[in-house]
Amino acid sequence: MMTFTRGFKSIYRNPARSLIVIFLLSVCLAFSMAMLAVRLAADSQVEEVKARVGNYAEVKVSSNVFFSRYFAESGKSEKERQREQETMTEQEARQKREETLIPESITDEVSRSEHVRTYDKFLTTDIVLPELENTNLQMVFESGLAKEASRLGIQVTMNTFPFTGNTDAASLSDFRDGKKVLVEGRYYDYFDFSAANPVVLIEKNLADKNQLRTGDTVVARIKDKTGREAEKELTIIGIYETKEAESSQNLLGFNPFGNRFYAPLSVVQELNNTPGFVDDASYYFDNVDNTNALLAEFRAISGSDRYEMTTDLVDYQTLADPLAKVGNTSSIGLWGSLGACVLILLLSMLLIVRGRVKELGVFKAVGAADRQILAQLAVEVVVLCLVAVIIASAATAALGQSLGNWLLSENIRTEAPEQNQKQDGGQGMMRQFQGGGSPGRLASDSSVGNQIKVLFGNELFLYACLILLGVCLTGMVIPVVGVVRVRPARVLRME
Amino acid sequence: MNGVEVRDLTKRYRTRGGEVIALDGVSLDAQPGRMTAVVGPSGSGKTTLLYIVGSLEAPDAGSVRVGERDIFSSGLNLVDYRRKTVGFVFQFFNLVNTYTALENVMLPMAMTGVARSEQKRRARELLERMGIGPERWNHRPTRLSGGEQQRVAIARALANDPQVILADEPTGNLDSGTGKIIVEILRELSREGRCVLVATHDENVAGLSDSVAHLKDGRLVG
Ligand SMILES: Nc1ncnc2c1ncn2[C@@H]1O[C@H](COP(=O)(O)OP(=O)(O)OP(=O)(O)O)[C@@H](O)[C@H]1O
Ligand SMILES: [Mg+2]
Repeated sequence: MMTFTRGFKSIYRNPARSLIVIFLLSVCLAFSMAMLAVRLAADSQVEEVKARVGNYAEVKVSSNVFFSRYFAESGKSEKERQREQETMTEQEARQKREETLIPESITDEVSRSEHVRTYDKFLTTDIVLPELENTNLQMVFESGLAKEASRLGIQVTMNTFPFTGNTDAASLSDFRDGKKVLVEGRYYDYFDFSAANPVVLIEKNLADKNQLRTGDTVVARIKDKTGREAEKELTIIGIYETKEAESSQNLLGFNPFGNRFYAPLSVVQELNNTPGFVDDASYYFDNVDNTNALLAEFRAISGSDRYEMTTDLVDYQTLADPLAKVGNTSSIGLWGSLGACVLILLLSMLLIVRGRVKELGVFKAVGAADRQILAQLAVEVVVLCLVAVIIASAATAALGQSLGNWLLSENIRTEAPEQNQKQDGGQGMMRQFQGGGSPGRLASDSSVGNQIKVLFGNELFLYACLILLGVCLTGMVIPVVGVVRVRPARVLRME
Repeated sequence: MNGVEVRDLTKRYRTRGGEVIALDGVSLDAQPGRMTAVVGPSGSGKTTLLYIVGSLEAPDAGSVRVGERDIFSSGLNLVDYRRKTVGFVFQFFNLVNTYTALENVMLPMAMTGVARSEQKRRARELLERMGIGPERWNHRPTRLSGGEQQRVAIARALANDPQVILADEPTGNLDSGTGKIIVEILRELSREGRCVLVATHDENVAGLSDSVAHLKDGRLVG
C-alpha cells in the first residue's frame, strides 16, 4: 500500500515533467495503437478476401489451340469448307469436334485433388431441334453473324438452340446469381446426370410461344454425319424465366434472347456426339494460398500444354495487395512509434533516476531492499504509461479509421493502373474468342477489399495491454540498472 | 545490547591519481551504553569507518563484529542489518525532501513492514521526544531549520529501535548551541544502553563522549 502512495507522490513531485512525459507517451501510443488497429483490420480483411476470392479455377483447352484452329478455318474458302464437310467421315467429324474439348478423365482426375472443394463440368453447344422454331434467330441471320459463325465451321439454322450441360442445374451460376429463375418444374440433378436422363430446362417465352409445359417432350437431332435418323426425345422438367439478359460478348455464346436449354451434361454430350468430353470444368478450392499446388497437380495430370488451368489469383491480388501493403505500412508505423514510446520512457526514467540518486542512497541506507525501491519506481512507470494508454485509446478510436482509409486509398491509387494493364493487355482478345468464363463461376464480390473496417474490439484491447506491459517493462530497465548500481556510501558523501 | 568490535579494518580506494588508503588497520571497540567518538581531521577516514560499520561499504581487510556475528563474513543479511541493527545520522541530514518530517521517520518502518498506524504512532512519539512538535510533523525538510532537520534525522535513525547509532559529524552543519543539544540527545541514547559511535572533528563533541579514538590518515593515533 505504502509503495503505491510513495509512487504516486513521486509523480506529483514534478507535475510539469510528468505531464510532458504523459503527453509525449500518449501521442506515440495513440499512433502505435491506431497503426495496430489498422494492421489487425487489414489482416482480417485479407482473410475475408481469401475466403471469397481467389479460390476459383477453371480447366479448359488452351487458348492457343483455339487460335490456331481459328486461323486454320478462316484461311479456307467457302468451297473448300463445303468439300471438306462432304468428304469427312463420321469419325473425322467427331474428331474435329473434340479438338476444342477436354477429356472428362482429366477434369475428373483434377477434382480428386485434396484442395478441391466443389467441382462441375460443362459442355455448351448448339443443337438442332427440328420441330421448334427459334424465330429470334432471324435477326442473327440478318446481322450476318451466322455467316461469321459458319466461317468457324458452325452451322446455324433457324432451328438451332444453345445447349448447356453440367452435372447439377441448381449449381449453375445463371441460377445462383439470380439471372435466371426456375418458375415451373424442377432442376435436373446429379442423379439425372449420371443416369443420362433425357431431360431439359427451357426458357419461358420460348415455351409459351411453342405451347410447351413441363412433362412435354421436344425432339433434338444428334450431331452426326447424316443426322436424319439420330434423334432424341427430351422431356421438359423445368421452365425458367430470364431476369437478366445474357451478356456474353463472344460469338459462340451469342444468345441475346436467352433461348438456352439446360440439360444434364451426359445428355448434351450425347447430342453433341462427344461422349467423355467437356468444354471446361470449374473448381472451387480451399484457399488462394494453394493456387500453385493445384496448378502443379493439374500440370502433372494434363501432361501437355494443350490444356490450361486459369485461376482467380489476379482478382485476389487486386483486392488483397493493397490491404497487405496497408498492413505492412502500419506495421512499420507500429514498430516505429513503439520504439519512440520506449525511447521517451527510457529518457524520462533516466532523468528521474539521475535526479534521485541521493534519495535512492538514503533508501538503501535505511534498509530498503532493491526490490522495494523498484516496486515504487514501477508504480511510477505504470501510472505514467496507464494514463498515457487511456488517453491514447481515446485518441486511437478517433484516429484509427481515418488513418486506415487514408492508407488504403494511397495504396489503391498506386496499385490500380498496373493491374488494369495486366488484365487487358494479354487476355482481352482471347477471352472474347473463347467465351467469358464457365457457367460454374459465381459473380465475385469485389466489395470486400475496397474498404477497410477498423474495429476497436477485444483483440485490440488485448494488444493494447500487451503494448502497455512491454513498454512498461522496457521503461523499467533504467530504474533497475540505476537502483542496482547506486552505492549509498558514494552518493551520501556528497552534499 | 551489543557493542561494536572493529578489528584491523583496511579500506583502499582506487582513483585515477593512484590508490588512497582511507583506513589502515583500524581496531576499535564501542561499548553499548557508551558514546564513543572518532576524532580526526578532514580526510582521516572517519566517514569511511562509519560506513563500513553500517555495512554501506565493504572493507578490503579486517572485520566488524556486532554482538556475536561478523557482519561481512557470517552470511548476515545486510539489508536486514541496516534496517534493524544500525541507525544512521548523516552529516548532511539526508532527509527525503518530498516527504514530510513524519513520513521521513516512518520510512525505515515501512521497509520492515510495520503496520501503517503503528508507524505513525511511533514516528510521532520519536519526533515528540526529539522536541519536534505536532505543528512541524507535516512540514517538509526544506521548511525546517538545520537543528530540526538533524532531530528528524535522529528520530529516523531510531525508528526501528537499533542497538547501534552511527552519527557522522552530527553537529557539522549546526551552530554550537544547537550542536550541543544534538550531542546531548546522542548521549541520552547511549544511556539507554545503545552503542553510539560519533565521527567528528569537533573537540567539544569529543569532550562530551565516554571514550575517544583519534584517527589520522586512516590510522589510530594516541
Ligand atoms: N569513493 C572514493 N573514492 C576515492 N577516494 C575516496 C572515496 N571516498 C573517500 N575517499 C578518500 O578516503 C579518504 C577518507 O575519506 P573520509 O570521507 O572517510 O574522510 P573523513 O575523515 O570523513 O573526512 P571529512 O572530515 O572531510 O568528512 C579521503 O582521502 C577521501 O578522499
Ligand atoms: Mg566525513
